[in-house]
Amino acid sequence: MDFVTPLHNDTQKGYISTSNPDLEQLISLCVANDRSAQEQLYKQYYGKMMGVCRRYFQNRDDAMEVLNCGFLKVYQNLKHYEQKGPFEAWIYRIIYNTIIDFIRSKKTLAFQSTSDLDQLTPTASDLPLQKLYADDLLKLLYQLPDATRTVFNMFAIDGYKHEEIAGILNISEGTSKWHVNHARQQLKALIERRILK
Amino acid sequence: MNLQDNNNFPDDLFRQELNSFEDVYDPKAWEDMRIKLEADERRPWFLFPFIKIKSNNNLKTIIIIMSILSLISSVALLFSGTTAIASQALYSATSEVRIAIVDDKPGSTANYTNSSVDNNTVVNGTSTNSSIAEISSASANNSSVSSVINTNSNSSIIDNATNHTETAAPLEVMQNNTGTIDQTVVPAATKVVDPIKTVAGKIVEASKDSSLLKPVSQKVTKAVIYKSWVGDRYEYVEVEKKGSIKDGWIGLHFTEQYSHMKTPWDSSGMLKRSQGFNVQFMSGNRLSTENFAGYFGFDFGMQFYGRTPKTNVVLNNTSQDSGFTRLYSHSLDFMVRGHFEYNKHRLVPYVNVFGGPRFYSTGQRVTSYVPLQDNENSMTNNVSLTATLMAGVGIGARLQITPAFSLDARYEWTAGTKTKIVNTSGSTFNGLNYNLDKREINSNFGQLKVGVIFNISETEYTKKLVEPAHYVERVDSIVVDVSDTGKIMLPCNCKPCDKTNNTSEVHPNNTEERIPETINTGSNGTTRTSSGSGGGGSGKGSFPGIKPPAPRPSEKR
Repeated sequence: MDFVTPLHNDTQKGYISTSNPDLEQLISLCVANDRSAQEQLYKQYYGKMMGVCRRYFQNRDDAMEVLNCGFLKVYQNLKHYEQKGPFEAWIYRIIYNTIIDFIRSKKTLAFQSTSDLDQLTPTASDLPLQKLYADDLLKLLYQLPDATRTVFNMFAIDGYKHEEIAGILNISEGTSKWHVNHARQQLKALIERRILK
Repeated sequence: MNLQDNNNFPDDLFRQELNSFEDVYDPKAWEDMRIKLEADERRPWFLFPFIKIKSNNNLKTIIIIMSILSLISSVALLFSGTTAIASQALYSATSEVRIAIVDDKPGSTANYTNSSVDNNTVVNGTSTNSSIAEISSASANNSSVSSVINTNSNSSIIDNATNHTETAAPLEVMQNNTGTIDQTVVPAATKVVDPIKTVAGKIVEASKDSSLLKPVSQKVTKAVIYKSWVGDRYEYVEVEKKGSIKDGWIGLHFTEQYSHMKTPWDSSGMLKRSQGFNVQFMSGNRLSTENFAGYFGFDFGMQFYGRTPKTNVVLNNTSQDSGFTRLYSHSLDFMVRGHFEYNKHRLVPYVNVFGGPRFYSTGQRVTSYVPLQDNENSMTNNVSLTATLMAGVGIGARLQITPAFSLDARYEWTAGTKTKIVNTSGSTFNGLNYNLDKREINSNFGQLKVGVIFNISETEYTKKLVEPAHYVERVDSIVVDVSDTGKIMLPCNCKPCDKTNNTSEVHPNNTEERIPETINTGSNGTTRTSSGSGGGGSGKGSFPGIKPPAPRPSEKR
């Protein structure tokens, strides 16, 4: 199942147009099963796509597994790529659909015992707000329950609407809103705790 | 910084930081990816068209599973084989023959030798592949050697038509399908024996009267073909009800009656126009002409001619209640009717003729204005009853809506003998009774009847031959004692109730097919196979009234 992936403008800044002859050649080599070309393509988009995967999966191995499954689909379907629109968006959509499929297959969205704020432990690297970097934010994000983290990721970062999230994850719209609200509260508390420290 | 001021604070922060977040490249990731790609390329498209191989471990698992499945399939194929059926033979199959040479001495190790047919060499000893003839000759020179024959059904054919001579092994042990040894034979002299032909055409000969061997009992499982006679099989197809009505019909009609008589005395118009009803009960079609049908039956009708105005009276009871009295008239008729129609189309025009008596009746009714008590009742007296013989004809049409339902409309003219009826409008009340004004009429009426007709015929079926009579072959197994050509051990199903005796002996030379008893129902030519009851052992006689089996055509070869 494909999901329409809304992308932010700033995300699209990094897209490589297929008008780039180097990319076109790289793609054609990948279609011809040139391993070095495939490796080059993999390295080119690894960072960005792995970043997306890591937002959804706390376990790095899970994130890598999903990423590689997604890239396998990319390689298998490169010959079907019609070169309409940015190539990175095309890869992103495949990787993202793979993530969603993986989440749904693992049924991680079942309601879990949501951890209370008191139970949330601050990360080892306590930094002031202005020095919170992506890795630190990821660590905060990982302290959220899986369901809450997924919904927050889709809503706040990937830009989905509650209605779309409800449809994709097969939950109610109210549940989606609750997860986002819950994530906000917990993240605020975690950040405040860091600042105070 | 007050985080509570901005509700979307975490959203913005995380979006800004994580949307452009890129993870550091990990070389291990490409290694995994490369393994995935190679596994995907190795994947046989015809075996795993839809399986997504997620890791090398999964591929190994799939390969192991497929290998196990292949092994199981091979073993199953090896041991199951296929049944070879000789179309003309009564029994036709045995199987692979495995002969093992066993040292006769107690405690010695057996040397198994497989025939050229059986490729499964048995371990527990030195295994050699050789022909059966070689084994036999070898056995003949060594009296201390015995052989074990293991038979497995459904893979080879016993050719019972030819015989061969052979010097058999000095000691043979037959083994049945279950692998257990049934009988041990002692050496006997060479004699003509039944050959056992394997699938590959090899012939195994079991010596019966050899100078070295004398088999007591050698049981071999064979396949046997039972041929059963199955009669014609019919399918019954419902016949659409159309055209004439086969068994009968019922008509319900509203009747509007008009007078064709000159009755100037009828000031109330009771005869000029009256209403009633009619019920017809008609037979099925009695004509054999195509598109024309004739029905006969009778009908019952009732016409209401109205009533006089109320005349107040004082009732003769203890309360002297006020009441009223009035006259009312009606007629009843019972007609015999003939009905003829042309029924080629859905709209069926018809004519009918009828005749019968009509009874005109006038009654006086006295009742109270006040509600009647339990012990009180209104009083009705019949003050006039006359009869006339009527006859008439009618034309009409019925529209067949469904096979069982038609709308009907007709107009009928009637005439009858003269009779007197009460003119209710001319009758006067004298304080106790009515002074009846009787007038003569001849019952010349016209009747418009509108109603429905119900076809009450039974659903008719036609018999359609689905499958003609034929023989059905059924393959079963029997146990043959090859040491005695005069008998075959059969799994007995001729006495299903007698479970103590599971086998009976039949002579193989009597190669007539075993055909179940048939009971001819006699109605449609179909036959019913009996399940063996009523055979010799049950002691119960045949069911009364069942005819003996119908003659069966000879089998076509």
